[in-house]
Amino acid sequence: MVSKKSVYIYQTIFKIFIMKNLKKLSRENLKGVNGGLIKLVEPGRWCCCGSNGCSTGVYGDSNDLTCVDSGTSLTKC
Amino acid sequence: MNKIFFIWLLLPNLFLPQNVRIIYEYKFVTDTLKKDAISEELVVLDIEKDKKSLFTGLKHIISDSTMTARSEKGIMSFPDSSMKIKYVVEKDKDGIFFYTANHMPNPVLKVKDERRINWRILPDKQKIGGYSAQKATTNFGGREWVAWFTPEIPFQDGPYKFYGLPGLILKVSDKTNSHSFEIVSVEKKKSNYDILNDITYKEAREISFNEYEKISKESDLERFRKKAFTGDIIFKSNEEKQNFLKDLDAKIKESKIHDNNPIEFSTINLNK
Repeated sequence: MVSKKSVYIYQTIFKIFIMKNLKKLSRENLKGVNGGLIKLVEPGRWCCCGSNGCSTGVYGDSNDLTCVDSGTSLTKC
Repeated sequence: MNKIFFIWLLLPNLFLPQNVRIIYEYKFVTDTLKKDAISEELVVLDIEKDKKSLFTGLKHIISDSTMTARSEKGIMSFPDSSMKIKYVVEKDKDGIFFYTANHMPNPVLKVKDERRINWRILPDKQKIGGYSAQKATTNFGGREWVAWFTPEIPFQDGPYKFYGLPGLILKVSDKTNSHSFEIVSVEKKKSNYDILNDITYKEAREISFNEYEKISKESDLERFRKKAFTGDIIFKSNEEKQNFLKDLDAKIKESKIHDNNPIEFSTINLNK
């Protein structure tokens, strides 16, 4: 027999799980900036670097970030 | 009479502003195989009287300021690709420090340079920019340098790491004339464009000159290449990684052939 209290706790945990994932998905769209990174595994400061130098940095997870300028790669900075 | 003479001597100092910006034209040859290809860039010496001085390229100051301003608005940008002078030299009571290029894949290094510059002051004189200048010579960084200084501007400072003459250095060039700094203007510093104001300098790692000499056996590009194998660069595919390495190898090869005339022979080219 599952108590009402346990059901409430499970529902809350499930809601938090959904909210977190929704937030993560929406960040992909928010980060579309002309000069550098588009999307948002590893937290830290990331730059788009090429042989001429690096862009200004952005804090986020490397899985969610990508460099759009040709000749640049996502680099820990 | 003596009192009047003493006040007259103090006058230039009294009217000299606290913050002065001196601009030099820096002409340099990067490739000794192409001696006629002379690069030029305006460089800035900001002097805070009795405190410190900072030296770097004008384009570098503007590039950093623009990047900081854009970053505060949430806009990402890249450094000015045309600038060549990316290092900063700081002189204060604790000595001379130079900062390696910022906005590069590697963190900024703050290197303490404890080498002294021993000048030989000669009697030769000439006029430079309306000032009476006197000749001095020294050996520094594996080159023989000739400087012209003026006691009329009472700052014992000059471009790059040069300092310690009884007056501002107006002109300094090496014997081969492949590195030459000449004064363009002296003005009260009004600009808000500040040197070392960028966030990248706040994380600078301080090291000794000996440590730097070991590190600098590799160029910035070679150290960037190493990052491809340490997980510090994220590639979407193996193909992207191979293209990255191919492009970088070509640039490293080109740099080794054409950047063969650094300002100091005892270190690698700081311009890179």
